[in-house]
Amino acid sequence: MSAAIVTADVAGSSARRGRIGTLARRSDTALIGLIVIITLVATATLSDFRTLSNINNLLNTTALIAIVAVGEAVVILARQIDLSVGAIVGICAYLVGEWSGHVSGPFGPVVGVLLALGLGAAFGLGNALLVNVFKMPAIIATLATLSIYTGLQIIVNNGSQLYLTQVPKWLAGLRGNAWFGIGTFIWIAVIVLVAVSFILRRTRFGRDIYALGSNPEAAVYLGVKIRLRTYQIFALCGALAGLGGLMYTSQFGNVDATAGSGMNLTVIAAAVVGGVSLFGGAGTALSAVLGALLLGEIQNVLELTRISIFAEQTLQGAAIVIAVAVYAVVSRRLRRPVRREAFLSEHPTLDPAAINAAGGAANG
Amino acid sequence: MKQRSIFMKSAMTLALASATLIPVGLMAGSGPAGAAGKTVKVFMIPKFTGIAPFTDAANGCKTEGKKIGLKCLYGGPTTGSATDQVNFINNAVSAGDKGILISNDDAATTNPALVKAEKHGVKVVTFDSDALRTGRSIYVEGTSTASIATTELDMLGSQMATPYSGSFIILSAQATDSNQVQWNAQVKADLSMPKYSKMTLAAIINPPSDSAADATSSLQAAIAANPGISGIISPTTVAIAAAAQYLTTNNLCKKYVLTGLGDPNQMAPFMTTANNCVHSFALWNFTQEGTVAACAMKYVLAGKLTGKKGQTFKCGRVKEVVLPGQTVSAGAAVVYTSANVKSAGF
Amino acid sequence: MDKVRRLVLSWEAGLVILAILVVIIGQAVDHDLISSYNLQTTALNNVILLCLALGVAPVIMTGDIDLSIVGTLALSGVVMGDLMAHGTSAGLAITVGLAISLVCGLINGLLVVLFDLPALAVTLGTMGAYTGISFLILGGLAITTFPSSVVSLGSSNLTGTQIPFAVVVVLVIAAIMAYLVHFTTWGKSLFAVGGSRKAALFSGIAVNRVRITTFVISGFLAGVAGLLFLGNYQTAQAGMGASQLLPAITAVILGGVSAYGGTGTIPGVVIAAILLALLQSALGLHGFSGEGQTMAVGFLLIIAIGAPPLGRSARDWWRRRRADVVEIASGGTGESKGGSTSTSGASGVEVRSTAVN
Repeated sequence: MSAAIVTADVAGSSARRGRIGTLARRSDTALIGLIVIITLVATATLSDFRTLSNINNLLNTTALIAIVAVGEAVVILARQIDLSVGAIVGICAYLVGEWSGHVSGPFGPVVGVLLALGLGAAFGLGNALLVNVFKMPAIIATLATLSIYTGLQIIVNNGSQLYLTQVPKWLAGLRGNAWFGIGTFIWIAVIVLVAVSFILRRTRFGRDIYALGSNPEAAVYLGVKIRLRTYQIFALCGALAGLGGLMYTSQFGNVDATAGSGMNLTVIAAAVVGGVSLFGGAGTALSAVLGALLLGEIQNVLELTRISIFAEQTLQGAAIVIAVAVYAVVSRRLRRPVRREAFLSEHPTLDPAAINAAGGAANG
Repeated sequence: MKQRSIFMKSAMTLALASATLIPVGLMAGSGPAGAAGKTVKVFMIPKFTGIAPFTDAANGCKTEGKKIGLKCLYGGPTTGSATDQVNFINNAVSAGDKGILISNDDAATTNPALVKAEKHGVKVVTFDSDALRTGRSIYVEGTSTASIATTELDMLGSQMATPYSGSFIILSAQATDSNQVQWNAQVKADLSMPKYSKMTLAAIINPPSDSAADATSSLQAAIAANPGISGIISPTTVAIAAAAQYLTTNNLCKKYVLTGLGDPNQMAPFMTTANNCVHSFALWNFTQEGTVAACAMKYVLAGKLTGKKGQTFKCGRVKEVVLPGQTVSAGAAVVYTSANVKSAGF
Repeated sequence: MDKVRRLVLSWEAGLVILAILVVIIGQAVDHDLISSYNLQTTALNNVILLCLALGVAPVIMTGDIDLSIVGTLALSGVVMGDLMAHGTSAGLAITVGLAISLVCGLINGLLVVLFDLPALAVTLGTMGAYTGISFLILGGLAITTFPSSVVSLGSSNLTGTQIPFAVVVVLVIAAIMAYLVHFTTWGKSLFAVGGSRKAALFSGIAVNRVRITTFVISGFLAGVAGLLFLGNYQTAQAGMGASQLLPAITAVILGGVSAYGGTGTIPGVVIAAILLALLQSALGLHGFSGEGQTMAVGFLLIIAIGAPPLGRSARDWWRRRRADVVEIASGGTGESKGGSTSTSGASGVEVRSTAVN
């Protein structure tokens, strides 16, 4: 009986894939709207906001978070999570800066980028190993590796740090460079966004990820190779965190044991605020980038309003809540016309009316 | 059935809890065990591990300790957290260490644990960042608060377009860091001195954490929010390096004078002919601070140093240190310029 | 016989065995682990973590998360401290502080449940907001003098013993929570909601009310943790206790509460907290620095959750038993998936059968 239900479910979900894509894009549209509104208001009211250097800084800072958030989003889309990305960023920041300093000549940058992606992917594979072989839920596996990688980061640092003088010139200069007037970091973020979007929308891998996220049991039933995909998503997430590490080194030059600390929550928040569902299957790479942009913009605007840093922290927290609420309400409005029943049957927990009715009845 | 299994699990919990607590009841009053060897074990706790200044201080303590019969153990939390430091304080007492050297994440939170340690006969010397007075015998500061404040103001004032005149901000660390709070208060107080009377402090900026990322975003906002400023004092190695990097990438080096307390290795790239973003900053020698802290501990353990004004102790190359009170300076701050930054050697 | 077998093979028993191993090895190597001073101070320094973990456990059991507990701890602690510093009586100050913690929890609950927003994003926001207000109140100041009643709550012993009063308080809270979670209708509905909200809804459970209550309890116990912080560290300071978030959630998850809701026990959480405290203490006594201790906690999670064949066989046995009870042969359900998905899946199946009946 249950097998029949499961099969029907899967058939439905794969047939609806096109529609889910539309939904996700509509949610992204809502978020873009929110970002545009904040940008317009900030441009009109804050003279410091519209300066070129401020916009440049905002986008560059966001780029680092956004790239790591895209990797995190891929993992979350498949109904997994990676809590260790901050530590991977920190370790890779140190090792890439240190090791690529020994490679001179035109191959330096190539080696550096490959090193960042490879190291990051290796740490990601470590996470996947725990999930696949040790059968650990991703949240626990990556909570464990967060501790292990953080410890490793300090041991690798050997109580000291990487100095700007040890960082190769190409890497130190990366942050300041620009092609066609647009900073390197922004280009990297755009390339990552386009590449991952393509993978998610146009490849078997992408389809499998959404299937796994929507209904893992059913996906396995339909022949999705869950172990292989698990290795791949964590490797991809790790590789992007490694790339984030390379960018960290370029941005700050000095890399000590605090590198990447506190980044985990920001990155996950970016994905979630962007509309990537923690229950998997809903969201896009663009969602994560937009989420990062929204968080970065809120912080930037609050910092520019010249209020005390203490009030800023309070308002930033409140702003995250308000942004999530506004965005949730707006995107729900947008979703409604698209066959509400079908959507709600897929996401029963999102139906406030039903929950209220039942809750009220039971309470009454 | 399910409830009974929960009941059994609760019983198990109770058994485990009491198994660990009963010995406590039985051993009421017994103090911590500790075998006294030839060398005396002391424990050094940094604000957090993994950064160069504390590693240097630990090396100073270890090297000097070998000469004077102290075994200097080193360990601390991975992030700046006073409650995590308390674990290390308690462990040091339990392990029978005779002394604790600690740089406090904040002055207050660790204090009760330090008081308790002292009650158990463990001597406490604070270094770099003080506890409350009740929790330690003496405090070894890298250099005196008074000299840090005037050095910072002199470095900034002498570089301003109109010397000693203009507005500036302090880019500090977390609002609760006790040494930072002390220094910044001293700078504020010193502004009333005639020499600095034309300098105005626009704001003290406390980033939410002691990381380069937070320092950068806080600085960016502070610059936008305080358009009139011409100077930045950053009394923390993490933030001053982040600030120098920020000013360099945004071509703001000529607009703002950046100075403060920095690590020569970190700051050297900003003091070259190609990039002369920073002209001077200061720091004391952390190895020296660790060395003096070890010596002070030796004298405190011997009961020869209790924090009374005028008491003296000897330490390696430093011939004789006279206590001005309960606080003693490890040495003078060195001002670094492009001339000596490369040869700093630590 | 089955009952005995199930108990021996249970998650909690595994944790107890690990804890005993830590004690035996630690004591054999360093001799200082089981000393009155060490056990007392280790216990005292972990009561706040346990108090937070007990509060957040029901939230996680329903499949939500509350990251704002450290913000609530800081805010209510700072308010209590500030009021006492301004001469308010301890009783009134504590009442106000705890009331604020209730409100903090209620705000989270209403935002998450009524506005139907992701708990992670909301509580990340309120964590920042609550912590921020504590900074607005005290700035960089610290309050360090408190009425003797508060100090003795946090640092004195039960009369005539060496057992810290705060430890007893938290164990009593644990007993109350264990009763609420495992012996009341509310507790049963927690697991139903965590297993499947839809199924819980259909079986007539007031899902909204249950979820909001968990957030309120989480907030309240964070407030109690704030009070214990004042007594224990004799300090009220903005942002206090921030480092306790990850360890508290680690204790909950190590205690066997599924991160996706639906399973877990309060005794498990308590044992996990004791295990973590003992491990940290044993390693510290052996001279491990923070990085070594942190890594050890990571490996402990892997050993406890990933490795033991004992646990695997127990799980297989458990699954077979569940399948018998529910009589729905959930063919291939998450056999190749991670542990928690299969456990939450299993409880989901159970709930569904209730709904059908």
